[in-house]
Amino acid sequence: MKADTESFLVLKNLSMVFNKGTTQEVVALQDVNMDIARGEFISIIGTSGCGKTTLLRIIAGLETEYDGHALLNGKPIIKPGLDRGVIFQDHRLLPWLTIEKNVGFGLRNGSKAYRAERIKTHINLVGLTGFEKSFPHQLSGGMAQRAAIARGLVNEPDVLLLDEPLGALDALTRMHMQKELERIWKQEEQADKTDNALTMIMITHDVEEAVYLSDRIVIMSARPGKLKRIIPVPLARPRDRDSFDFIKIKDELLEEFHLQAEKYFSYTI
Amino acid sequence: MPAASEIIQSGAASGSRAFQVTEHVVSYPVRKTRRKIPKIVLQLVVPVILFAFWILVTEKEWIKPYFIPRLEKIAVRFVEMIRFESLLDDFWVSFHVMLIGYVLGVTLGLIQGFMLGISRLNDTLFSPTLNAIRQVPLLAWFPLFVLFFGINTPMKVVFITVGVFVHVYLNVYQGIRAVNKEYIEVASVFEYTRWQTVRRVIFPAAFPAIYTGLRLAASFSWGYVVFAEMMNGRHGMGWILNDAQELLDAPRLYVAIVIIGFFGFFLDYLLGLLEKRVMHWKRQPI
Repeated sequence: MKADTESFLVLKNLSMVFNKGTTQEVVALQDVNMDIARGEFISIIGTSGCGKTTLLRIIAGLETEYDGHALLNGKPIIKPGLDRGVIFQDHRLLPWLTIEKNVGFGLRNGSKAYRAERIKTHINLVGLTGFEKSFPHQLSGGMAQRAAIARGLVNEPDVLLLDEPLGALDALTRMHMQKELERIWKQEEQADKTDNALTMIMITHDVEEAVYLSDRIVIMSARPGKLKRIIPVPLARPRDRDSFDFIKIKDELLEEFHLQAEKYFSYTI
Repeated sequence: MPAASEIIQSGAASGSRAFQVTEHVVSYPVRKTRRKIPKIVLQLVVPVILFAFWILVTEKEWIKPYFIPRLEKIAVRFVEMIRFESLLDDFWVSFHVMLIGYVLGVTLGLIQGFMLGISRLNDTLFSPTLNAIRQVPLLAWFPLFVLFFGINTPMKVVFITVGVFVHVYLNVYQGIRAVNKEYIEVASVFEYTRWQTVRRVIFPAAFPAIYTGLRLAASFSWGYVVFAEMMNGRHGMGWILNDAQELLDAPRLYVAIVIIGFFGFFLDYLLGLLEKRVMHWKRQPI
């Protein structure tokens, strides 16, 4: 399931300073180095102000004034592109379009029949069958976010960038959507058995979500935004939230934020 | 509906000692549901009261009948004006002059508003001057327009066009500027070109503000044409107002006011309906 190990997305000495040279200078990112392989599921976790959204926006091409290198397939990232889909924290569906037109907004070319088929497939993929003609304001938060995910996927990008996609949802919907994200990620991989496996880069605040979904978890620290540590999660899928290994990794993660539970004893086998 | 006590008693009276399920029917004092008064009735209450008051005043002649004539007199005058005077012609004159000025003003306003909203360069070049000129109330320009364009229809058209233009361009400009940057980012993520973004994101997003501008401008243009006709010329609803005042013909004055008012209301109402049709995706206040 893991794609080739050749470096797909390379971040080298990546730095980003806002308002450089003025009194409001803010160092959002400092010397970030990261290699991401094709088909990986990466979570980025960190406290507020650690630059994770900036990092995502740089990869998306929405921020261009960075120092250092951000390379996709060897080419520097200088602007947004269809190869990198973005799911924002607020769903950003266009309110004057129906759901199917919104999803179709992401589809840039193709014949009418091709477009209709693709839109239908992706609406079904996210579980919104029957809501094609609804408007965003008629949908709940979770459903709107799912529509945004459909829109992000409809053009089959190589990379999907998600900025706290499940942050605005209630706990139950969130757990359901985590399963859905995993299902979508796996389904996209299987549908296209060639080397167009979908790479997911997700920002989240939810530690459990990160361990549940990711191959690797990137931990960032704030002020200035630095890459603190990368924790691999070599667990088989689907993951059991209650298994020992799962909880161990979760604890490791929480320890980084000094939030671990009190331990009365520990043992190793 | 029998009260609870009766049912329990009947159960006891039957003498059965076995467990008996008694249906407790409790009669609560039922709250009278307020009868719904239809909205339209409430809306008509005030006008009806005003009418009644008018009739009272004219009957008792609390105010000289010269100022407040009886309603029948006004109605009769209305019919006279249609049959023997040029009321219909005058209305048509006002209407079509307003229409021409409105269409011209809207066209120019849309173009200019778009240019200013989309191009930073245009904005920097033209906005300061336009803003300065805009501060002068339109009516103050009137004498200058008469000087340049005369007293007839061409002048009135220019006058209305300028007035409409100022309203429309500003609303278009602000509508475009107010478009959420977030939506524009979405378009850039999907590789939309500048022009495609304008057509598919900026214009639809700004449309409610633009439409509001168009709707307001329609009301204003009707006012402008009446004003222009009051100042100059020999035709139109505004001229009727002026002429009636000069001839001390109060009923005629009232007829003209009512017609002007009704048409303005009607126009705005139509545009409001259209707004609901066109922007059905938005949740509307009236």
